[in-house]
Amino acid sequence: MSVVHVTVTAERPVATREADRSARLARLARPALGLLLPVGAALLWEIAVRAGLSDGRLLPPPSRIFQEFADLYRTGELQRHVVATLLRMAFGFGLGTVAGTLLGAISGYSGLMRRLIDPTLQGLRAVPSIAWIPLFILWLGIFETSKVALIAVGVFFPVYLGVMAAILSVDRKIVEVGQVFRLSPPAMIRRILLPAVLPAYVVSLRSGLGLGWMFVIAAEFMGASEGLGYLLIDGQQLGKPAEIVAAILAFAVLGKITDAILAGVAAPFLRWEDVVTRQ
Amino acid sequence: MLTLNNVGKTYPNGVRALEGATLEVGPGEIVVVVGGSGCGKSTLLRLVCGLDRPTHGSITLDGTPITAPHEKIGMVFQEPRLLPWLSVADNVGFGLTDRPREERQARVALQLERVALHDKAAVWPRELSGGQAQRTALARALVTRPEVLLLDEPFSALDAFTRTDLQDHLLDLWADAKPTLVVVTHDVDEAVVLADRIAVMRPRPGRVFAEIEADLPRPRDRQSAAFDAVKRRVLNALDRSLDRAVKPGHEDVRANQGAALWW
Repeated sequence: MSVVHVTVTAERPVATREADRSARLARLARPALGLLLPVGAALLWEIAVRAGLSDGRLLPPPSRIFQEFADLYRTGELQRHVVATLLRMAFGFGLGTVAGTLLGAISGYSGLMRRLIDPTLQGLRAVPSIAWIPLFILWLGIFETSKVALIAVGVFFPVYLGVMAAILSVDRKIVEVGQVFRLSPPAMIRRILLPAVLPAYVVSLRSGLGLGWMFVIAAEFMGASEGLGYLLIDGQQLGKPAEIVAAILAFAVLGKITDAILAGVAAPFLRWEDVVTRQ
Repeated sequence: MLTLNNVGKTYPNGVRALEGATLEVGPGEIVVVVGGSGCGKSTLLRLVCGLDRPTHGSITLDGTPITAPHEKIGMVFQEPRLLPWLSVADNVGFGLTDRPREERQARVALQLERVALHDKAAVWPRELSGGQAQRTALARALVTRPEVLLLDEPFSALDAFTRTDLQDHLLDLWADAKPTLVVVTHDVDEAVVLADRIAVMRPRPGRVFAEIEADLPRPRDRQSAAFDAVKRRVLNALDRSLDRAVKPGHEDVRANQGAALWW
């Protein structure tokens, strides 16, 4: 009797500790699995160039790209370009998000306003946003304003559409709960509509952010003296593929980081969601 | 006193969901509305709740006309309709946000205790079972201490065991403050367990067809002969409401089938 008791109490903590350790390992291993492919490919390429199988002139090996990063960092060029691009993104994304959210909310909430403004906006949405560049340059000049405006246009449409669709799809049954408790219109928005649209809103912000990164390059292609897009053009004109690849990698890293920040900021507000990925 | 006087509802598309419905429900009384599908019993409840407005007649609570949701009238829907972004406790306290925090917390805690969900206060609605979710919805409606509580087929989505459990639970809760209850159901057993009075409705157009007193002692024994007798009267009235007059001598067969509502 006592033997059984002892073994049970002795085994329990060991088992849970082991389970803890394997859970921690699994948490660490998950991102590591995603790194396997790019790191493996980079290593293979490095080896191939070192072994003389290729001169790596058009596609420089990782060591040379890393060297390029280090050089750009040492001269302060990297920081200057990254800051310029991030500032444009911040202004453009902010502007596009505010405008998209406001107009999306208005046409989602009011049927009259939707019939009034939505057809026009959908028409404008059909214009490939790059087509605005010549007009924006004529109107706003070739400096920052026109670039920010282009990014804002890119961010605006997914946010506008996402907010409007989210409001239109709020469950009538939940709204009726608010009605039974006699919520005023502002309270209905704050306590029912906003939380109900939040998951879809975060998705639309993230797709807006993605489009924003596309448009920041387009904006910087149209004549910039700094920014990662300028670095791309500079690398092309001076025949420096390492600089181009370094700029591309910088875009990838910045895009991923900003998206992760957005998702991370939203996550605490969405813990209630009943989704498949949560186990 | 809740009074429905000649209430009618015609939808803009011309469908007459309800016509000439007249019903009086006294304070603390439990009236159960039964009827086949399409008889307008859910429409009736939505009108009393103030979610829809009648096109004819009037609904009054102690003389005050009901044209919009009223603070003294609570509602429990067929689905729990909990807000998924609020914890169970915050869902229960949803109608109390104008109260001081201490009072709100105390009342929510007490009500959760009453529906035996005090250990679930902090969890999300998605983590509740169907019965727990519906109990949370009951608590949310009761915590504001309504004078009238409307329940629209509140237990129809639950399994049979949970359903009888919750019927007894509802009667316990009712005994606390004895609000007026108007319950819509298509389950005759449920009607006889709960009701002081059963209003049988008929379809096309919906109207109150018969009222049957269920003057059985509480708690009610679902197996007793008296229970069966009331049930048979309800089933008979339902059959007649559907123009399926029961032939003499066949009453018992019909009643025991207990399926009059499923046509």
